[in-house]
Amino acid sequence: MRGWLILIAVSALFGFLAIGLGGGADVSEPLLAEPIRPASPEPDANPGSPPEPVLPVATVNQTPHPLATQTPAARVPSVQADPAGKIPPVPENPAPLDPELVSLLAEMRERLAAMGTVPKEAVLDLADHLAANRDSAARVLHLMFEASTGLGRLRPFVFQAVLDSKDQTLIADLQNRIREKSAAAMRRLPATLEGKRTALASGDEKIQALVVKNLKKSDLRDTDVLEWLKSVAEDTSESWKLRRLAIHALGRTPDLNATSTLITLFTASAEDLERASILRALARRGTKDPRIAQTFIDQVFDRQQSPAVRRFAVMGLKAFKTPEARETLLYLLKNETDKYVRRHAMAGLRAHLEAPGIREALRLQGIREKDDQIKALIGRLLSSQAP
Amino acid sequence: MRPLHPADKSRTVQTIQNTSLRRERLLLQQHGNRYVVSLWKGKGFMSVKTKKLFTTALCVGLALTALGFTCAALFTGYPTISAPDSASAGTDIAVGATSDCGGLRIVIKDVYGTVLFDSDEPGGPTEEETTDEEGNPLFKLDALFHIPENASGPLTVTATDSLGRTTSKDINLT
Repeated sequence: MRGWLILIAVSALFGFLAIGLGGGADVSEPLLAEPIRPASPEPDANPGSPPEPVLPVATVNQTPHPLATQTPAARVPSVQADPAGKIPPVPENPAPLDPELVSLLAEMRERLAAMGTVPKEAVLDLADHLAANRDSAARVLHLMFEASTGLGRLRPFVFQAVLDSKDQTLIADLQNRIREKSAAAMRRLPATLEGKRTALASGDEKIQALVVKNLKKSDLRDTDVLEWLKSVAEDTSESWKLRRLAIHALGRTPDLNATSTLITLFTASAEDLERASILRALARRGTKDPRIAQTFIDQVFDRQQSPAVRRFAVMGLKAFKTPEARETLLYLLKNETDKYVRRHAMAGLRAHLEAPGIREALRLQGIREKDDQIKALIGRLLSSQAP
Repeated sequence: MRPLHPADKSRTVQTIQNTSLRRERLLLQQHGNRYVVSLWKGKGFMSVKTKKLFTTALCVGLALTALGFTCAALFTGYPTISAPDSASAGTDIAVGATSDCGGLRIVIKDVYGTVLFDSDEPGGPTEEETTDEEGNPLFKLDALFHIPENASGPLTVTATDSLGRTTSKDINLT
């Protein structure tokens, strides 16, 4: 009877562990989808763009992240199709979507809701359809770049289908749209330091974010810019998006005091995402300051820390070539349960490949490894030689 | 006449009473051509009701195990990468990443681990925030990358979000 009790306890424990530690548990994704229902067309905020087609939508229950901004998505400015390309632009009043395209997208959405991913064969089916049907290709690009939700969670799989179509015209059109979008953003960026200072002081969050993201090394030496970044990074009343960008910019600045600023901020912060972002910024500060390595190692082994904090701590350790960092990364690869921590540890071990015992340890790990991405990286590293 | 053990099913004709709270069983047993009614008192520390409860718990545990491992195997998770499976050196490739959490970063490395592209660098693509069909935040980052003529493949595209979740995809160079 005691054996039964132990078996029950162990199996229940495994059950909860499997769900708790499985890939889907930490992203608040539904395991099973609710029934598919037809979506009602949203009113179009941009009267110049054609109406979006109605696609079947599977409802999901996702909890928005506490620090995720809740503002509705900004509309991407309408981009005209490349006149030289063969993909026709979407007309003002487009005809209904090709029934086959609707069917393929609906099937993909259904699979995504039920399985959490879209199988490769479904992506290839769509790729074949897009390669054979120019109108569908144009409509899909329109949905990806100009529709209000950009195809939502289905977008990366449709993006992949466009790439898998091997249709050079279609792929060139996709690239043109990305290029145009990037160029449009860069056109809004002030060219001079004075212009950037003015933009930072403007209070317009969009332009501030654009400027902060694109601050060059020379800009980051400017006292006014540095003071602005520090004040925004510390000001919890600012939007999280802007604060995150300011924290990351502090990580890139050559100012030596920035390390102290970031560590002070890290010590004072109680917010997991904020602490994770500070570690991400610290990882760009180089390896000279011993406080940085110590901060990373302290967080890696602190199980009270959130997974995000520990993942960025491991990512930060990648830059350090010390035996202590190497042993830590190897220990995490072998014993850690969080797959993302293990992936970062594995990526970090790439720099220690020629250290004694590492190749053999990786060879043994490769035999019993379950994570495909880690297994692939181990295989590639062991088969390659240093440049 | 000594009664048989209750586990001897071949000789036990019928369990007349199987009390749930007390560990007692009243059995009708066959001995040759005679039938005997025997009262058996169990020696285990668990009543029949408790046994049923634990059996149910076992089944639930096993089912949870199966469900958990199935879901873990099926769900790919965020961030999601879109990138070509193969490409030629000297050409442009489009790469996309999506996540339900902002702060997306795309890094492309060559086979030696040299960083060829980092979206966090100035001039890199800007992340866009949108919403999924339910109005939940969804972040996307599209990038164009020119593969150098002398690049050594396979290239590895890695996308990371603010939660430190990372996904990689290899691009073979043709």
